[in-house]
Amino acid sequence: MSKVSNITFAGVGGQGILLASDMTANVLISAGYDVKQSEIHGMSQRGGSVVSDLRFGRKVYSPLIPKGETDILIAFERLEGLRSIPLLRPGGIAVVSDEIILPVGCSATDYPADALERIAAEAGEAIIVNATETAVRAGNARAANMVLMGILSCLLQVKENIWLSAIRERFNGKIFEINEKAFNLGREHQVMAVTR
Amino acid sequence: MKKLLSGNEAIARGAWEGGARVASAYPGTPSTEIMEKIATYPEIYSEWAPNEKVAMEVALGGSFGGVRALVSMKHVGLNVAADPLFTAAYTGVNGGLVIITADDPGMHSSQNEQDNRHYARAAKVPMLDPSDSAEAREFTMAALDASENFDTPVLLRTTTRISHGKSVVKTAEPLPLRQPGFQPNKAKYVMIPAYGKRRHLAVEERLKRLAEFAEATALNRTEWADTSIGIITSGIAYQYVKEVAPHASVLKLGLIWPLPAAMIKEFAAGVDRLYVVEELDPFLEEQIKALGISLTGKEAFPVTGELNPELVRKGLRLGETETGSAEAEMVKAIDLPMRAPAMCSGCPHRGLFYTLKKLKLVVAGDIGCYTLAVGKPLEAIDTCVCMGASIGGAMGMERAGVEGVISVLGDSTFIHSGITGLINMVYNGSHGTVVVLDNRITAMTGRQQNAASGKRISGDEAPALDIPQLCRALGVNDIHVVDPYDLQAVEKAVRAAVDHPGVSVVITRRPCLLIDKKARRQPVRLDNEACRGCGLCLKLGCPAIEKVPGEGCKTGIRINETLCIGCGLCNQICPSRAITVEREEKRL
Repeated sequence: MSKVSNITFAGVGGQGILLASDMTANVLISAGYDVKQSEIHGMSQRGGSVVSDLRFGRKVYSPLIPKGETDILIAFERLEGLRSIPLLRPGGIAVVSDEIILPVGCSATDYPADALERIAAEAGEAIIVNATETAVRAGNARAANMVLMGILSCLLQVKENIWLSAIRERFNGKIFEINEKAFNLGREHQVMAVTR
Repeated sequence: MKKLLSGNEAIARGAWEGGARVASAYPGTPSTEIMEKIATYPEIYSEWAPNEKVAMEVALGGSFGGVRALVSMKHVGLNVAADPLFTAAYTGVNGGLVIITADDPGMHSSQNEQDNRHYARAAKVPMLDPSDSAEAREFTMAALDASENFDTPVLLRTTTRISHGKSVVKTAEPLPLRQPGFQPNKAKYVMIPAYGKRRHLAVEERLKRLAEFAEATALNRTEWADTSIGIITSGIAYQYVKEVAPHASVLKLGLIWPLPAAMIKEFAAGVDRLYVVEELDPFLEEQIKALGISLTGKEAFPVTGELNPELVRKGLRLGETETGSAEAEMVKAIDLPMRAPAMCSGCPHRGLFYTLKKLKLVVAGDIGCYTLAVGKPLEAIDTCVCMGASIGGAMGMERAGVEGVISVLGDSTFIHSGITGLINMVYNGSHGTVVVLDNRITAMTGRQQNAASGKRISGDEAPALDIPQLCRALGVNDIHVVDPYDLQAVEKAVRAAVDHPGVSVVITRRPCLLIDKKARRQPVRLDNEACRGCGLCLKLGCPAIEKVPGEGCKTGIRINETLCIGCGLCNQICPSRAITVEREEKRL
């Protein structure tokens, strides 16, 4: 049976999770894979947890990733990263943005302070980046999703130009420049992490 | 051409390729994007109807008029549209008519998880059940063909995972359009008893022909493999079966009503052990057992919630012993603070619910964003049943003798199903109050236009329904229109309305912030010295007011400047006047 690869995107509604998942899915189709994606929207705009499952391979059946079979977790926030850790397979990679968004009505004292440590302990490899800060350097905090996509692009066997043309197709003008820069900063972050 | 499409986009694409000309819907998760996508095809007339019943009637009329038509709705929407559906089964069609019902197992955004496959059997019409986006497109076209070939409306049922899941679809060019033309045929289209009796005979005869079609159509297929285990399945469950049991023999049903009895018997006879894997009710299971076939079904798979690969794997291994359940899965999740959806910061609904809670009223709620007011800390919704039920429900409570009951519903819900309830209140002499939360949009489903918003699905200008004038015409004399950002005005209006001896309507009017970005102001400023730390502002349940002990003021209250849009509700309730409002527009 041919191997299916699994990516879970997790974060808070409004962080651009579904866009990153969508763009990655289209990149993988361009690279010749069968792709399925599943997510729940409707409530996403109102600050709830958002999870998007992305699967690719020669032939994909279930759009849902079986629990504990995620190869790469892309978490846009610490708590959501920790919440999704049980989805990761043994030895799986967790890419986590080092930022905190307090749930409505949750006191900061109830927010797990050791989320990053717990993620690092569970994951085969943990890649930590402050995606929002990095995106601000690229020109806009909202391009944080492109920073994470840049890191993801280093973990997948897809040519860089396919990623770049996906960004070009999606954005225009100044917004394109910011998003492309954010994507490249994400790639640089990963290259530095590997060479360190 | 290959594209990544959601099931909803694929249905729209199938309708366009299949030559549909008329399409109507009322928004409802998970069906909404079907009509949003159809609206991008200029060849198809598309609209948001005030409710699903009207949408169904428009589509049926389109079909009578000779063109292909589509109507889409969420599962509970079909309850509203059931009246025309059951008789449309008798009239049959002229142009092909496909009715999309999008079920929501797991209740991601619904008030129940009813299984609409039962409607096919009850209304005696065929139903298709696609299992990915490619099939969603293909089955929409097959449904339009079958509708014309068998002179029947055809139901196409999706579930949330099909509607919102994305997979690769091969697209093609559209078919030539049918020319419109109504051919009068009173015995077919005028359902008086004399004609209806004859049409019922035609319906029964048609079901027999459809059962023969079910045996022959490529919509149903047997995938023979290892015959020690055989699985009958359909829809999304097929994908989970293929995922976890790739070597099993599978009978995949695309047409799930009527069922191919001979095909099922042959399959059952060819395997050692037979399972039926289906989400929600034992719909296929009961029909197959009625054929005298023994199988393993709901004793191994849950009746509640969504299926997933783990539950299917567990069910197939354990057979008739232990059952898995969605609840058991949830218990295993790490114990972490929940991140539930909440009303947005600056949501115009917040002030009203704060006031209703303060006045200790019994709040008959309804379906929309504002149902989120049930959560902490507002906890200001006491009932929520279905679209429009706030009004009838409050009337019933009033007549039961409950004091201080108030109905609350949004503009779109009021238009959908609230108007008749209000007529009932006036007609039968209620003393009650109805609050219409008029935010100028159908917000919960993702901001769709409605009859009061002044725009059509196309974005074209439309006459905006004047809700106060409508209420006056219905016989309501006590009408208050207030800005929900003005807490004093809201409280005054609600008190006056509740005290008024007849029927009262309070309209809280302010556009949803997601459509009126210009209404955003600079974040409020909290004076840490002036704050006495009473925590009253936290009772608003605003996402921008955070509790961060050790930071901000004495009690650790902090304004999240990214989230705050300066609506000023907290400024109005702060007894220490520690919060000040900026008037400047917020730049994003």
